[in-house]
Amino acid sequence: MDDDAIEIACKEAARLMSQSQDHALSDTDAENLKSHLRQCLSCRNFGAQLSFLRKIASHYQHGGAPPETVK
Amino acid sequence: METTAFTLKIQTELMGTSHTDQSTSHALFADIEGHRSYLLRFATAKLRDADQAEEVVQEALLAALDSIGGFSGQSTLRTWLTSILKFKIIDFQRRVITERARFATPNEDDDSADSAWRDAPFDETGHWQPRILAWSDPDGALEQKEFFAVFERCMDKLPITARQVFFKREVMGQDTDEICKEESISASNCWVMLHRARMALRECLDRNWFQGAR
Repeated sequence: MDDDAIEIACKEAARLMSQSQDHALSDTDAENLKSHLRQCLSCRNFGAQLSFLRKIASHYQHGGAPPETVK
Repeated sequence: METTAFTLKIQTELMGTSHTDQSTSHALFADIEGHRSYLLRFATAKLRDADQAEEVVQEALLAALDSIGGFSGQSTLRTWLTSILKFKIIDFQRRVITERARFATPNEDDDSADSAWRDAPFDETGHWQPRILAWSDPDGALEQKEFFAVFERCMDKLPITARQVFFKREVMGQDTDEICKEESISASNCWVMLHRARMALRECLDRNWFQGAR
């Protein structure tokens, strides 16, 4: 299944992870990213932080920290 | 100056209220003021002009005050204020369009001299340099007001177009096509902005919040 996967560097993996937040990746890109993530802890951390960034923004939109701590 | 006008209006309103509990109104006023900086960012992202944003936020706050009874408490106060602000921004944009001819907005302000913005965190082989370490207890950070202050400061450090693209995409949840159109930049340029903004923000939060917690 991974036979066609090209080895990509972190820089490309980061770009793909960011892109996947805006639209679906092509099958090839998704496959390359998946196989890179399997062997790269930094990129897995980066991916988690990217998702978390979105979560922060959404919390921020709804008022930042919950009311108990704001008041 | 603007704030004073708003405060005066609030006080006048409060004196005129007969059936509203004044202490509740005072508390609500304080709450509304607490959202001003968010609303300003929202308006600036839309209007690209700090003075215009200030004006429109002012209008929105006054409108909010006039229809405070319409706030059901079903949504958060910020969501409610934002929906009022959105209408005010559309009004304002219509006025601007009819009042004067539109000038193309230059997007050349993005090549910021900020080295953190330009220096990619990768070595020459495209690997992270330095490595990306996990954040400990990120959800805990969401409980802290100070964390959001850091988040705001990090957003402020981004070059203007990147900041607006990020704000519209991640905070306001607009789709990328719409954002590119509004910012009059190509889809690929828009996307590069977004990616760099995310990278820069991630790095800024890492440096200013999570490293200390490590």
